[in-house]
Amino acid sequence: MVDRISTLQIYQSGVNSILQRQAEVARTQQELASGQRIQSPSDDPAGAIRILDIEEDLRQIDQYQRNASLAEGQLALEDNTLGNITNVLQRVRELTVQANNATLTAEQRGNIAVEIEARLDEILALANTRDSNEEFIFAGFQAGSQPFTESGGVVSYAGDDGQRFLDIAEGSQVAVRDAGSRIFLGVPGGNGSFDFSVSGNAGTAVVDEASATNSYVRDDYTITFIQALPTDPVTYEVTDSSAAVVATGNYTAGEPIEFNGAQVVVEGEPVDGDTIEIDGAPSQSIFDTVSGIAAALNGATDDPAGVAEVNNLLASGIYNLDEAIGNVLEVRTDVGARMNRVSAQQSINEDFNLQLQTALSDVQDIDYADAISRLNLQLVALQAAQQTFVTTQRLSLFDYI
Amino acid sequence: MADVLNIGTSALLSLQRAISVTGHNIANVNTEGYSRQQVNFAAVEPTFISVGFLGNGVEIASITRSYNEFLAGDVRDRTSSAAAADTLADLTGRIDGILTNPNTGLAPALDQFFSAVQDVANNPGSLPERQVMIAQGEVLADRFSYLDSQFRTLQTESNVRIDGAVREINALATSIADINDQIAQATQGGASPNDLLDSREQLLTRLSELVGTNTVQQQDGSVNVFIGNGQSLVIGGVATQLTTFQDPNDPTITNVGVSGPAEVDVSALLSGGELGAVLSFRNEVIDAARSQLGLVAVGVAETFNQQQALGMDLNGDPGVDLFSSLSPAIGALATNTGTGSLSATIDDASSLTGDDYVLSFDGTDYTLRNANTGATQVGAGPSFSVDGVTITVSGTPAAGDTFTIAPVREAANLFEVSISDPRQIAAASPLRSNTSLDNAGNGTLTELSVDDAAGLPLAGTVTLTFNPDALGVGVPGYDVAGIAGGPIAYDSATDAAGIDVTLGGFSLRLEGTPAAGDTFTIENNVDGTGDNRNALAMVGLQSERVLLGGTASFQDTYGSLVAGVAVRGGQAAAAAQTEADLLNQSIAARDSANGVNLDEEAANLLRYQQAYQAAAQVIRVADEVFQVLLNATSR
Repeated sequence: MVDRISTLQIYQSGVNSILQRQAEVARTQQELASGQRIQSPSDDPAGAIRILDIEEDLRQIDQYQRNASLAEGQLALEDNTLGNITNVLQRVRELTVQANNATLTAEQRGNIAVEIEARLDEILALANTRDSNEEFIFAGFQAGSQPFTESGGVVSYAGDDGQRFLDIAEGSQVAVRDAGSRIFLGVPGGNGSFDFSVSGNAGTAVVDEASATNSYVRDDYTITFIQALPTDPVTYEVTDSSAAVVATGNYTAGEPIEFNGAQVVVEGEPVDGDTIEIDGAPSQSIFDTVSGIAAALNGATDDPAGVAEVNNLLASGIYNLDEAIGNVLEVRTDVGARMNRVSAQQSINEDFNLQLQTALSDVQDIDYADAISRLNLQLVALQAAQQTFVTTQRLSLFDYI
Repeated sequence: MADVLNIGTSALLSLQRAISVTGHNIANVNTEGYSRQQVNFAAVEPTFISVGFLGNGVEIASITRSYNEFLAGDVRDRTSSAAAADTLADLTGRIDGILTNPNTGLAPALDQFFSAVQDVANNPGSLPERQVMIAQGEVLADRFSYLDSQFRTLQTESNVRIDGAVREINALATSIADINDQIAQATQGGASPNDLLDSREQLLTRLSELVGTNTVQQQDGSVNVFIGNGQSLVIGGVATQLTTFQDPNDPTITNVGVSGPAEVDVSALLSGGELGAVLSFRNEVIDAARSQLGLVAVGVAETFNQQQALGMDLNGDPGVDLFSSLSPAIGALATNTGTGSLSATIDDASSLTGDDYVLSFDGTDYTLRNANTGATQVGAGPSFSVDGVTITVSGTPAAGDTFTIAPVREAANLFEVSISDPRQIAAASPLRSNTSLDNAGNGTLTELSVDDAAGLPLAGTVTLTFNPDALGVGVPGYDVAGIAGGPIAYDSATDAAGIDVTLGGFSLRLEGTPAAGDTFTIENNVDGTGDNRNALAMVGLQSERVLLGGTASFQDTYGSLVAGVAVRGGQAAAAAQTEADLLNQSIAARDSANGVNLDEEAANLLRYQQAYQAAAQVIRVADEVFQVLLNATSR
């Protein structure tokens, strides 16, 4: 215990404690005014870094949310377009079924062909759909140039297999487009396993049903009808691509011809030498399928063999259309799944955003109740320091001499 | 009677002096560093008379000052520490706030830039997004150079403060030496020159504020003053002068030397006080902060340029550098005599450490030393590779020549966007793959990515055809046409889950069960304006740990810079507070011994006044006694 103290010291310590209280009040005041606990990183280095990290995450989530809504828009556009394409294909299928009737005349078929051709233009326009940035959505990476062009009745694809992805969360990307080649080209043809074609036959054999089991052996086959003498029964012989005979039998209309896991039901009356070609690994362009149907209808004649040929083409066309519609639906289902993923991610992002906001607030915001009571206490202390100063300064022995 | 008068007079005179000393104390109540003086009375030697010794009154034996060498020394030490802590807190506080301020910090600019890259990825064919990305790149460049300029401003300010401190130290040293002389002379007379001593104490305290000092008291009353590591500043009446000069390795740095025949650099030896704090702030905070910031700058520039080179721009050309490439800063010692010069390039941003290096030549071998860790490598050169930097010596250095290499120090300052045409952003990847429409199997080719753009564009289409006998009868694989490297062994039985394959400068992944004759083609991504794969790869750089040997992202590296400065700032602020308290305590301890207390002086005044009145009474009594005698004898 010091038993003496200098006057300067009394003064100085009084002033010091007032200054210190004032600094504390100012600091609390600053915290209250800004609402923030950390005025500069040195106040709490760990907290400051945490704020830096959280703010980065928040800005990233903000961007991911923008990406997600962009992805949502793009997928919605694709979904909508695919829906329209499905509708048009359904309409083409209805027309084809309607035309696949032996009683129709060539003129009536021609009329149906006109509508199918109009639908084909519609599909072509849909396949060349552009988004709000004037990019072709089914062109793969070459989004700047029109992917599908028609020339001389043949639609060709100028795009590629490229698919665009967007980031919707860290390490999570979602495809927002599909290449035209996946949707319109390379679609499994026929019944999915094989296709059939009939041409130049003299008889009226028409394929009624074509199906394959799991044990189907993929190859190109030829069904040849044989009737050496008009009195002989009609028989058939199935040969594979190396001309080996894989099945033979007597032909009965409506009875299935079976070979290597395939089953073909033929109706009508074939004559000797008539053939049905089985294409073992078919793939179709939707455009070719539709234009093929229109061409078949246009080229129809009214003689029985001609009608049979048209009917065969239409039957094959219906199989192809079913596969085409199935393919578009498959892509559309995929798009739908992606839309779900995007909206699920959006809500995850929102949750995360909220969590981060809470965490940020925990680190950076002041506790108002605490800060205000602290301010009051500090004001009292300041007042006390001031009063003490004035009181002690007033005391002097000189006042008494 | 005369004796009584003399006694009274001696008392009056002594008390008058005592009152004037008290007055002097009162007058100096507010004088900084003033030590309370006190009068020591002593009885005048008595006269021997027959019955014994008769007192002869009072005299002033001495006027001493209350001074405690230990307490004063403590105040000086505390003054040094407090000034150092305060200066450090002030300086670090300046950068501390800048680094995390949303308007000036790097983090938001970095995020905004990446956000702009995201937008390009979202819409690779659109020019406005690309324009924004370039603009945000420029904002990032501005932010880098702004932050670096703040550091450099502090560097310049440090130099100014060093100059100022050295000038004041020199003036103080001269004054202390002068006072030493005066004190030595005054002390010869035997009396203590109290006010001179106080003045010197005052100068010493001010000196301690500027730099840490040690003092040694001499017999003749003078003090010898040493600074830093025993460097003498004042010896008796002679003062040594300090000088400032430019660092030979780095002209932006001012060093402190001692003037003399050969200038000696004492910067590293000085500690404490404002000067010590500025020197350590400069060496430990500014350089480290600039290097760390430079590391982020080099990281962004190098990784983006690399990714850009792997991509294809909107014109279909290979990507050119997005940011100008940043060369290491190289310095040659002014004393070098040879003709050797250095060049250095950054090869691998991920291996960079932010450290500085020193290359010295001993006539046969070079020694490359890491200035931060001290690790060395010795070799005949002329090329050295260290931490992602390649250093090449050209010309003929002489023995003893030394060079310094600061790979990333200037990078933040030099960081800039080097393209202006938004079409030049390589958002696309230069290759694309297609699957043949006739493929019967379900094999896939995915994840086509370019590793090295050197072989691009491809001379023609590369075709992969699945062949059950590609590598001999019954050994399946893909025949490769259009590029060397085939055939690729691929057996669906074991590889259907996917294998990664590298062909030429690109890699890809094969999966699934292909059928014989199934083909995939890889071609130049002509007109691939809708491709965003390379832009997505750029986006990925944001969270990828591409720096410090793959342990830190850009944000992490910047975060550790902020943390480093913040921790230092926090420590300095806390230390400043503590040191200020300690200084106040030692001042209190000193002042309670040395300081003037007005009440005490008032009491003394009363005491002396009363004694003075009493002494006056003694003279009056003597006078009256004398008058009585006169009256009795005057008839």
